[in-house]
Amino acid sequence: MRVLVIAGRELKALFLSPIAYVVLALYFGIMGLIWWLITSQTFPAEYRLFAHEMHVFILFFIPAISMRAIADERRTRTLELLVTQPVRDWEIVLGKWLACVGLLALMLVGTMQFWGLMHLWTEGALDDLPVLTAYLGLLLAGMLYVAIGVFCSAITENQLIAALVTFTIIIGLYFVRILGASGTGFWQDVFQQVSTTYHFDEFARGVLDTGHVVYFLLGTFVFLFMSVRTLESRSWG
Amino acid sequence: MIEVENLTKRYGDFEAVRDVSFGVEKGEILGFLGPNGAGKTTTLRILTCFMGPTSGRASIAGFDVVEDSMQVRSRIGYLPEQVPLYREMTPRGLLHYYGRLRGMNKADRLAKIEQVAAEVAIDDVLDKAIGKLSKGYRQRVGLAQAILHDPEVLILDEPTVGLDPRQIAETRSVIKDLAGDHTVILSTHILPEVSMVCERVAIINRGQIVAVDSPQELIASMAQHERTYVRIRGESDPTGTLTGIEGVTAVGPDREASGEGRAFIIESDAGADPRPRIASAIVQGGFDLLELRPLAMSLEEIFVELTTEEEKEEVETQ
Ligand SMILES: Nc1ncnc2c1ncn2[C@@H]1O[C@H](COP(=O)(O)OP(=O)(O)OP(=O)(O)O)[C@@H](O)[C@H]1O
Ligand SMILES: [Mg+2]
Repeated sequence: MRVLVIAGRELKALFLSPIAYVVLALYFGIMGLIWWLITSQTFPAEYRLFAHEMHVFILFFIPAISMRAIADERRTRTLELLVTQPVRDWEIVLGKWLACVGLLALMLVGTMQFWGLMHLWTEGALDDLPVLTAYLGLLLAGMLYVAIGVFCSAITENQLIAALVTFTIIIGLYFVRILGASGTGFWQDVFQQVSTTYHFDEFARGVLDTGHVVYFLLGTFVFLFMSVRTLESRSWG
Repeated sequence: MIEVENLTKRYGDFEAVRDVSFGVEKGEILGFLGPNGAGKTTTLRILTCFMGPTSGRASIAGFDVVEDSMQVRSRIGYLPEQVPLYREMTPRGLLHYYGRLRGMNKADRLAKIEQVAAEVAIDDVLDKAIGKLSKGYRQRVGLAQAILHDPEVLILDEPTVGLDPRQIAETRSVIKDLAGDHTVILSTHILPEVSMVCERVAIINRGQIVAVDSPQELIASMAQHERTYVRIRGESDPTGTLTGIEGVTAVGPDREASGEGRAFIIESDAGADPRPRIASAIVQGGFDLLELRPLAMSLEEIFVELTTEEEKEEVETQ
């Protein structure tokens, strides 16, 4: 309940700031352009290609969404008032995270218009299952990225630093698979297992495997847990 | 209502608060007085469950700030230093937000917001963005936030800093009205504030409590010497005559005085009333005595004395 109160205020602040409008407008603009590029080359296009592009571009927008979450409250010192309310630190972290995931969900839902278009063009021949799993994969990956963003926002009071560190980590997780490609055996496995692309690919192919779901949920949990510990340390006071 | 026992807080190697103990009775206003960096905010942050002490205990309404933190939080209203508020929100939105966090239902919130807005006189700005309000209004919005849920204890960290004299007077009268129903701790480094608003003062310096008492008692007990103001008319310099009086320890001209004759401040040992001796010495010395009155030691002087004595000791022990 208190989690929702905190998330509600955060979401409102995102729309007032007005990061939310800018992010939504840019994301929809870019995805529209990419949709046009893909469909102008291959028609009817595979939704899977489009899902990969959606994944790439949320990497750029999530740092902008999550950067203010805790950092801005640290900078303006409103965090002191928030943590002295009868509210647990994990409720604050979860509320902040939920607000950012809410905005991310809006971004994803907005792109579903292209799914509808595809249905019209293919006259119902489109296989919906891979599209659904792709969206689930996007949401799960986004949840992890936002958790990373919230953590970065908890360790600094500078939003720009929070955004840059977030971007570095999530881009790293996205590309770390390439390191594995050159290696062999053990290290290849490790790099692959850590990378988000490896796990996301399966969702985009229409495969729903608990192992991949667990990867994203566990990652999310780890970063949210570290955020709570950072907040609890009060080293920012 | 508030019990603090041997509280110590260390930041790394630095002891910001050292072995602090005091208590506040229900309905009382305690002034927490100290120079910059004395440890006021640190102590208040422990009381508000912002952070735990390194050692020692503190409890509010019988609940320990570490073990029963949620119980404590729901019983206090806190106004942090510099009044941090969300600038993009309106006072009404802000009060609803904190009301919701504190589990107040809608009807409750609507009624209480009306009430506290009237109490701190912010009714006319309830729907303006907080970022656009004057400092005085923001301070009062902060106070409204602190009293919204009718807390038993109010903790206010420098509530009048940065306000103009009229706003200071208004804020003080609001705080005074709050006492009785609420127990209040208010930190400040402004002395007149304490004697105007508070029933009791705790003076803290370099992390240690140096005195806890009512302003009047503090003045009485701290007067180590009596001071007498005299105004004298005469041809020659009366300083010699004055220093010769039994029990007098120092004589200084009062430079601020103006008017007829010369004014002096005479310090003498505490206890015995030196006035009869001073009067007769002046008259016997052939001077005209124009004025003679005892000077009370001000809280300001006590504060300076308490906080500088401490420094002298530190220097000596180093
Ligand atoms: N988070 C922190 N880390 C390290 N030192 C700190 C921290 N917070 C406060 N201090 C130090 O502890 C001492 C007491 O600080 P505190 O803020 O409690 O003083 P104060 O009495 O509130 O002063 P002021 O009147 O300036 O507000 C100061 O020397 C300060 O530098
Ligand atoms: Mg302070």
